[in-house]
Amino acid sequence: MIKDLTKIGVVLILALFIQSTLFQFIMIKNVFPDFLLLLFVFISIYYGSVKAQMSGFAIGFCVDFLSVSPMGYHAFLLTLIGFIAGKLKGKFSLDGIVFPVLLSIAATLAKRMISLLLIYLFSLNYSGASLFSWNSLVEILYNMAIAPLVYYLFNSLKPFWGIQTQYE
Amino acid sequence: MNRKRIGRNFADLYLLIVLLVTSGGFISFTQGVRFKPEEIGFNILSFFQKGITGSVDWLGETLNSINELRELRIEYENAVEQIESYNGIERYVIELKRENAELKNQLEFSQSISFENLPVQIIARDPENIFSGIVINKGLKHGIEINSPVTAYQDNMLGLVGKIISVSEKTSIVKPINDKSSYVAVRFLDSRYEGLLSGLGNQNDHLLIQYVKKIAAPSLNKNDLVITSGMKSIFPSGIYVGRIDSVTAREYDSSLEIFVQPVINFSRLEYLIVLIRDEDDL
Repeated sequence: MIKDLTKIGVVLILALFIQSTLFQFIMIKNVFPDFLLLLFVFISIYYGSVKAQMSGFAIGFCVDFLSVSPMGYHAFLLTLIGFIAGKLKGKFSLDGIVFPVLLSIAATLAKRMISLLLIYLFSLNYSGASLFSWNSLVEILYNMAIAPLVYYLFNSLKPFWGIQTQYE
Repeated sequence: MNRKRIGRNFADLYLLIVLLVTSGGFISFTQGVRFKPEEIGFNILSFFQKGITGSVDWLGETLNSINELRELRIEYENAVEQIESYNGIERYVIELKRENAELKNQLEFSQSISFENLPVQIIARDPENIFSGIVINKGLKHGIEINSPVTAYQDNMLGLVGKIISVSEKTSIVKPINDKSSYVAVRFLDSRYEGLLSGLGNQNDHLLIQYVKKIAAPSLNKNDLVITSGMKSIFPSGIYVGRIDSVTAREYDSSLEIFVQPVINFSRLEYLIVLIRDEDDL
């Protein structure tokens, strides 16, 4: 358990640093692809809901440290997404393109819906958590575009995860 | 046996509830209070961000240096040819003079600001599209404090970018004025009316000014400049904020709703200037 959580943590922290430092150069209309979210969803489906929740909670706090969001915001968001994605473990097999793309749409919409829920629940006065906007659409399209690449990356790390993948 | 299995089935649900309640508690608790663990976490994680940006910069500079070396070599060969043919060294001197003049010009931007200021570089953006924080490469060590105003030069104009909301030893987080939770006291440059500007989110190109009385409407025109008023504000007066885009007067409202196009294009920002506040200025 600890070994798996450490592995997930290391990969997600790296993804977080890459996203926050390098993705600013590929922004379109102030939007960059959510590499961290996609990777986290694939990991969650792979490892199941318990590990996904725990790693989502931890990495969520790391995102909160680097963001102007209130503390706990991303911890809540990623815990819930991890739980939902983790429940899909073993339910279906992923191919290389279609499922990653569909998952990227679902994950982006889920993220935005949970954000709206959080903003409503805690009366937060924060930016941009809209479901139907151009930026939301740009983010979905961007995530769809990189989803197969992220899935390929995730799959190519199979020896690192150390488990035979059930997707094959 | 059966109870054990049910317990195992619900274990992840219990865990979910515990984690959501904990993170929810953090959100509630930190709404009004700056929480210390956030600063500790920011200190540690931004160190790595700085490292990555530094490495990328180093790589870029190295590649640039190689290119420059190649170009220099070509220039050198050309210069030798020129010297041999018509003693063209004077041209090189003229080119150096021009470059020098350009650099002086750029330096004057920074010197022309009447406040003590600190040029900084953006090393990271908010990891999440929904938020708009900017991480910069200077912190407490360089004299930056929480609420220090942040500006930038774009199109020969010093425009307001935002304020510092979190500082570590060597890095800081800037909350831009287009964030929904940002408020700035502003004044119209020509008509001198005052209002309160707020952000509409980083996904919106405009800012909103409220609490401007309806009698101001005739004297407000499209493209009028908006500056900081400095009234009881952390921002010094006279910094450009934006230009009026549209003015709306609703029948049921006693004040105007004015949409402003910011002078700063937030997606083009690379370098910022932090104004170091003097207690006497406030």
